[in-house]
This record gives sequence, C-alpha cells and structure tokens, in this order.
Amino acid sequence: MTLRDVRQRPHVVLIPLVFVAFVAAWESVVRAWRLPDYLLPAPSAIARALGLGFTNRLYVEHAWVTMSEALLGFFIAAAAGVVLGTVIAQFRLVERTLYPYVVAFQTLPKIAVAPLLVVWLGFGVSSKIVIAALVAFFPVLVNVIVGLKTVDAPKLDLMRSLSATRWQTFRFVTFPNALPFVFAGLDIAVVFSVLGAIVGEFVGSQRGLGNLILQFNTALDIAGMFAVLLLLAALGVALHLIMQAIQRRVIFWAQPDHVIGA
Amino acid sequence: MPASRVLPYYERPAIRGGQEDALLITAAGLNQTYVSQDRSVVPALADVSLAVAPGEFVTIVGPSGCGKTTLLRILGGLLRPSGGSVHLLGRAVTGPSRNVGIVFQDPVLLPWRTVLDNVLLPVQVLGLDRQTYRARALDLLGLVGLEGFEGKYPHELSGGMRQRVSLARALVHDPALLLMDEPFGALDAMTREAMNLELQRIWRESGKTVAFITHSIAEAVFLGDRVVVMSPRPGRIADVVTVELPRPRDLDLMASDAFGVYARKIRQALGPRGMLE
Repeated sequence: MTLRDVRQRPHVVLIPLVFVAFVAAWESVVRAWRLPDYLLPAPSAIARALGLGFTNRLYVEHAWVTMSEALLGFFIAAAAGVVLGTVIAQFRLVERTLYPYVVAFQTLPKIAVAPLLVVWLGFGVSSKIVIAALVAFFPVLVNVIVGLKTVDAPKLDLMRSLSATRWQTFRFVTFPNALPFVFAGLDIAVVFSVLGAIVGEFVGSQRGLGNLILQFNTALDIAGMFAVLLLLAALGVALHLIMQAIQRRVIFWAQPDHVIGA
Repeated sequence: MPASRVLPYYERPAIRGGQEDALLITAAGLNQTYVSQDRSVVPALADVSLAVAPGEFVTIVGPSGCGKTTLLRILGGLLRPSGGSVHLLGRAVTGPSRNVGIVFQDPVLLPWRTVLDNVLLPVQVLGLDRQTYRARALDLLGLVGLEGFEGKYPHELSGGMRQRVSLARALVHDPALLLMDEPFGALDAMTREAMNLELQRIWRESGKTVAFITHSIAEAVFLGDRVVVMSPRPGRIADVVTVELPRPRDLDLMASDAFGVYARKIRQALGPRGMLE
C-alpha cells in the first residue's frame, strides 16, 4: 500500500488502528486497576482462553452443533418463507385471509416460545432447529412479499403486450425482480438463525456454544465467555460474507453500473 | 426488398383507390374517460378516428396530457376504450396482439437477461422456436447497430443502446405494426437525432408500419409520412398534416424552408398558444 492509497482511503488504515487502540486501552486499564478476571478479563487472558479452546477441540464440537442447528433452521425458514411469501403475494384471497395472522405472529417475540418448544421437543437439537427457523422465517417472508409486490408497471405492461400468462409473468419478471429483496431477507435470516439456536441452547441443552456460555458463566470463567462471544461474532461475520458472495453471483445485475459508452 | 415497401403511403395504389381493407389499423370514434380522485369524470380522448396504411409512418404529436399515450395503449390493446373501436388487419382489437410490437418510453429491459435474451423475450413468451428466432434476433441487433453486444447486460449499455435493444425486441416476432411511445424522449438531443436517422433506416429496411408518439414537432415532421396533431383536454385530433418530403431524409433537411413550412403548419394547428410543453 502506497502513501497515496492511504490518503485516498484512510479508513483502510483507521479500522485496524481503532482495534489496536481499543485492545491496548482495555489491557492497560485491567492491568493498572488490577481488575480481577471474574469481573473483566484482559484481552491477553481472552486470547489465552480462545487458544486453549481451540487446542483441546472444545470449540469445534460445540460450534458444529450450534452451526448445524442454525443452518438447518435457516434452510427451513428460507424454503417456508419463499413458498408462503409467494403464495401470499400472488393470491389476493390468501393474502387477505392469512395476513392478520402473519402480523399477529410477527409481533409476538418468537424467542418467548423457546421454553415451550424445549418442553415439546426436548433438550436435543430439534428444538433449537425449530426456534432458529421460527426466528429466521419472518424476515424472509416479509421480504419475499415486498419483493414480489414491487414490480414496476412498465415491465408488467411489456408482459401484457405479449399476452403473457400469469405463470410467464411470474417466472420471467416478478420472481427475478424480487430476488434482491429475497436476498436482503436471507442475509438477515442467516444471522437471526444463529440467535435462535443460541437462545434455544440457553433454555435447555446439552451441547452448543450457548450451552458453553452457560457452563463458563456458572464457573465464573469470564475470559472463556468472551472467547465464545468472539467465536460467535466471527461465525456471524463468516455467514454474512458467504451470503454476500452468493448474492453477488446470483443477483449480479443489482450492482453498481459499468457503462461502456454511447 | 420490393420497391413498393418504401413508397410513401399516399403514393401507393391501394391507398389511392381508397380501399378500406388495405388499411393496417383503423380507429373509429375513440372515446376514453377516467374517474379522477374527486369522483368527477374526466375525458381523456374525444372522438378520435385514425387510419394507418401498411408501411406508413405516422407520427402523433401533441403536448403533455393530450391523450397520446392513452391512444397508443388503446391501439396496442393494452387499454379498452370507453367508446369506439379499433381494427387491426380487419379484426376488432380486444386485447394485445402478436401483430403489434411496442417500444415504450423507457427501454424496459430485464436487467438479469443478456441483450440477446432480452430481444428473445417475445419469442419465449409467444412460444416460438428459439433456435429459429435466435438468428433473426442477431440480425436485428445488427440492424439497430448493436452487433457484438448480444452477450452484454443492460447495465453495461448507455441509454441510447438500451432503447435500440428495446426496438430490436419489438421487431423480433415480426409484428405488422410498431407502436412507439416517445421512445427517444429521455435521450440527449444529439443521440436523439442519430436515433431518428437510424429509425428511418430501420423502418425502410423492415417495411413495418409505425405509429410514433412524440412531443417534438421537428421529430414528428422528420419521421412522419403523416403527422397527426393532437390537442389536449380532451385529447382530440386537431389536424392531420401530410409530409411530402423526399426519403431518405437527412438531418440537413431540418434546416430547409420546406421543413419549416410543415413545422409552422403544425404549430398553428396546436392552437393560439402554439406551444408544446
């Protein structure tokens, strides 16, 4: 990186600089005031806990459980959201009949249902999958409905001028037109599904990163808790980046313009 | 290409003979009203009658709100008139027809399709054979000056190029009538003049019948065999001016006296204010 690059895009340098400054300040405050580990561990202690968790394969096992719960829930939510959203957006009667229920369920805090689901489905992974799916479902549903309804009139006129059938209009125009919205919904949903899985594990579980946080909490291993939080943040960022990469490939046209010229 | 195809409509024997069945599209006594927000009935078109001969280039000029677009939507079967009738190739128009190709104000391309796939959209929707029409689509892209662009996406093209794609799409299923709704209105003046020249060439080469809406008097005179002048509130035909300028017309013609005479005539037909918005 040259000096000119830095001048044009100073944030490239500032972002890691803020991180370093923050960690250094944190470390020095903890050391200067001799804060005990069970109140606020120093970044170095968190790094040690993180290293230990990776070397004894503790994280791999629990992260795998949480991720599979979240992703299975996400896929169920995505499929159900796209199908139900499409049916609601395409058929006026279905919309009028179901929409009050959709709104009612949406205003209900879904995680409040978690204890009930654990009672019904047990401490295993299935209750977590259902909670993750429930939390991730609504962002998909709402975005699918909005996406399918925001087709500009000229495109529909064009299809009508060709005497297109309803299915042709849906397949050639309405559905692809909705994809940017659908992906916005999926991007939120994938992060929400991890939230759902963690909450499910809090309520009652044997394994998973949420369970691990509770274990560390009971043992007052605050450094361990921070380490798991860091891991969760990293997994969340990874999922988001994967979604972005898929999105860039699938809805390539919704990108900034690259004009060739007149 | 037979010579008769490029003859101005008024020089063609069938028209001179005045045979009704030789007309491509006729509109008789069209009325259109709509109900405004305060529940009052607003007339948009009043007693509009029009007949277009095969191969003719008719331009329809008028200020905003004179019902030009309403008229075009009725001709294209996208809108049912409140009164009157439209006949295309001798048949009453009750809905969209595959004998009509429409070029809208905006190109209305599908951004997720390549240029070629955009041009082939009518082929796909009408259930025609893709392989057969692929060659035709490529020919048309050449005709509109976009050879080699078939694999590009709309966001990679300029506004003028997009409207050319839209023109190729309107022609791909070989409709008898081309309806154009201010297709070059959004382009800059220079691109617009270039597009007018190209359109004249494409029209002559394809032999299509064209109804072309514009709010530019110069564009109307330059392109039209006949200029239908419309006045607003309610939209009705104020005058029909036959333009007997030789073809092919070039841009220099726009500075000629003959051109000026036609332009003045149309401006006068538009009423005392004589100004287009």
